[in-house]
Amino acid sequence: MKLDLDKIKEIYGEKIIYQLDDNIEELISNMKYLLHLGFDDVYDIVSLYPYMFIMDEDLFREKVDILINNLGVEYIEKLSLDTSLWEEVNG
Amino acid sequence: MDKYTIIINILEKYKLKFNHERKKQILNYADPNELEYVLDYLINDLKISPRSIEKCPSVLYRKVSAVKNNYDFLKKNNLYSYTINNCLHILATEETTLKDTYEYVKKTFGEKYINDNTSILKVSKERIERIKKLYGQLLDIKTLLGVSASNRSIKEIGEIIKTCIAHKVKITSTIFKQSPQEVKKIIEYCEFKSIPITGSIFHKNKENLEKLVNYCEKNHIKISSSMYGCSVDNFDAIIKKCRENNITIAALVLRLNPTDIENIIDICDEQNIDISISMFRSTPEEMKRIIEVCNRLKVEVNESMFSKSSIEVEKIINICHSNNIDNITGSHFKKNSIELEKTIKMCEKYKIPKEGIVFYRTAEEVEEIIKICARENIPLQTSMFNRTPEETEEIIRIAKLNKFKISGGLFRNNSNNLKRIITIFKRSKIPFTPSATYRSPKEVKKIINICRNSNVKITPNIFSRTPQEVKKIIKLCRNNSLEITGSYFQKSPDNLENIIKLCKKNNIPIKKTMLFRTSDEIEDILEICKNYNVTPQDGMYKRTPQEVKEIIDICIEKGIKVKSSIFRKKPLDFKKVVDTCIKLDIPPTGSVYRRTVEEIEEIYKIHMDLLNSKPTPNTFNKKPSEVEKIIKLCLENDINITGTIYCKDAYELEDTINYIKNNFGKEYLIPQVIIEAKEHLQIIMTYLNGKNILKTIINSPGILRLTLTEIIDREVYVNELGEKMVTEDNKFNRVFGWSRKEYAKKKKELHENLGRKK
Repeated sequence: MKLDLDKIKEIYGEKIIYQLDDNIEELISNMKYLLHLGFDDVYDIVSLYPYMFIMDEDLFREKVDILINNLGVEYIEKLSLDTSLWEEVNG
Repeated sequence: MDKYTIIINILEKYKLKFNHERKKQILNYADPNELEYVLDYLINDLKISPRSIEKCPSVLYRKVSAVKNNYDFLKKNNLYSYTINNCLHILATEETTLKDTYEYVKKTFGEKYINDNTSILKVSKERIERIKKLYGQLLDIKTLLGVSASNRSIKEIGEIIKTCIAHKVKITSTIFKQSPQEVKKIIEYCEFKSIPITGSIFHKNKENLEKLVNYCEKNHIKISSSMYGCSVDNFDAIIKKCRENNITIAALVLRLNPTDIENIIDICDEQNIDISISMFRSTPEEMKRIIEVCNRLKVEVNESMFSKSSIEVEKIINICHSNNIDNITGSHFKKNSIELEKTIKMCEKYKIPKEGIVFYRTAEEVEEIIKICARENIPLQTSMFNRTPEETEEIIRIAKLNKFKISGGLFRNNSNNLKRIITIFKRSKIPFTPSATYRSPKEVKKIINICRNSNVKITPNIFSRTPQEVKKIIKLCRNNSLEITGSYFQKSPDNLENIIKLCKKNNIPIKKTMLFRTSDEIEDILEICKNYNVTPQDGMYKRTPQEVKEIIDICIEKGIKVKSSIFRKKPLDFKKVVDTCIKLDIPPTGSVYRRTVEEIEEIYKIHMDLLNSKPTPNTFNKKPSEVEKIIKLCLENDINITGTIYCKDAYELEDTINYIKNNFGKEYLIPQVIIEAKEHLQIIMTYLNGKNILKTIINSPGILRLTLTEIIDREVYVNELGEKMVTEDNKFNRVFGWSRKEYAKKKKELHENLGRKK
């Protein structure tokens, strides 16, 4: 599976691609964290909220931890059914 | 003492050696009363090497006053700056001939041609006029003057030209070194051996040419046109010397005798200078003088200096110093001292850095290029100085015709090659990339074919490598299961292979940032991480091992976690940023390392002044002026400032905000909307507006994260469920909030159920 860069470019503009490349270490680290948390559609989440993934990794983890703590055990299912919940991390 | 004994004694005193024929001529023509004065002037005043005098003994026939007058005339007309050693016969010319010819050539053809072919000054004006009258329409100016300077009679010139035309050989002045009969023999020999006929072949008569060709064939040396001026007799000794000292066998080297080569090598060893081919332009004596000048003026020896005399080198260095140029590089020796000074003044006039390739051009050319840019309304690119003004203009024309952005890369190659490369891209139906100009058109074509055949995407970096290297890198990546991306072409195949081996040895995956470093450096970095018990971070490879160590030490001292982003900065800058963050009580994380200390402080002040709060980490994505614009834009439009807003440029935000305000209204100016691309918003908001449900995005903007195709597809699904797009609480149906994976799953289930019902 790969990042759908065309889709990301379409929704957010061309510059986001350079930003993702420029912050590639943060992107990979943050993606890995979500994988570690059990998300199997990380590429899709990136394409919905790309700016979230170029955040500093510690800050990202902190925000994600707060979110999933609030959502409870079924956080994966809840986020799958309502992706707007990621705004808590994105904001 | 008789005349001959006096002359021989003088020659011995100055250590001059001549063959029998030349010695006989000197004994006949030189004046024993003048000879010592002439030699003293040439060797001690003008610092001309005895070897050069041995090649041009006719200068010894003249009175010293005549030689001095000629030299002064040349100096007055700025001709002295060429390497005098190669033009001694000019000093031997009759004074009136020299002056008359100078004026005639300057008036008829231009001063430039005198500099290009100073030997013309030894030729009478009448001869040049005659040759121009007879053959002027068949020869370009440069060749005409070269032919005039040759020893051929007018009749011989005519015969040679006739032979060249008959055999379709391009007429160049070197052809006239040989007699008409010899020219014919050489051309026929070359045609028989399928040797491309270039002007330089005529340095040799047919017999010697044959000797050279046979020698090269026997010793498996690739013959090149630059070898034709060299004597085969010394080849064995020279080639042996070259091989012993790892020197490329080139004409520059082959034209010297083995003793000179040995002396040059010794000088380089003594001075601890790397041997390069350009050193063989000089003589050992001249090299020593140049090195003495450099030592005295405390300037590092540069190989480009050896194309100049020591006098000229000293002049150039002094000019640089008096114009506050401390970093003297090879480019400063591209032109003569007079031209250098003019160009420096031009750089000052137009505020261009006084370094680098600007010195490839004359002052007039520099000014012309700047004027072209002003006329065409394009920013000056330094690489334009690679090209003449005419070429620069032509390349700009080609770029405009093809609607390319004017970038430095376009000027790397000449306009013909650029046109050919563009055509290759067009025929291959691939978007043109300026990095292709690193390569010749032939290489570009090969590289494109290699990538096509290997199913590799063509990225700009690929053209930094030769076709053979591209092939090797693709093979390396395939053999090591590496996804082939442009970054691997940053490294040569050997370097890449070393890095891959190192990663395998250490059982670590290869990272793109490793390609900034050599395998030895990567190994050192890994060792440092091991010693400090720190996990290697991708960003570390942007820094040298020493820098990595220093940064880790600072982290330990300041209690900061070692993360990839901190290696954006060099150690000293990193420390300054950390100290500033501590002082301002902001977390030293993330994008703060993109900024300088001054920028961090400025952003902090702007944020406090306008929002009365400390900046969040995302704020440091942008420079202070951008941050200020963004904040003001949001305040003016009453937009809540979130971290993601700083991911956009102010002008983009402004454009989007204005579009939404003018077309849909201010109520839609929420962060989740304005961070999206204007073109995307145009499509989606128009679509939703058409359905009278646009207002719903204020409550549930998440739908904007889908493409129109996806929205329509989900709309169909919602209809199939028998539901509405907008719910009673004025939000979009939950379907529009599903992840793509969830939606795909649900859609499949629905269709399977529908299928079963049928």
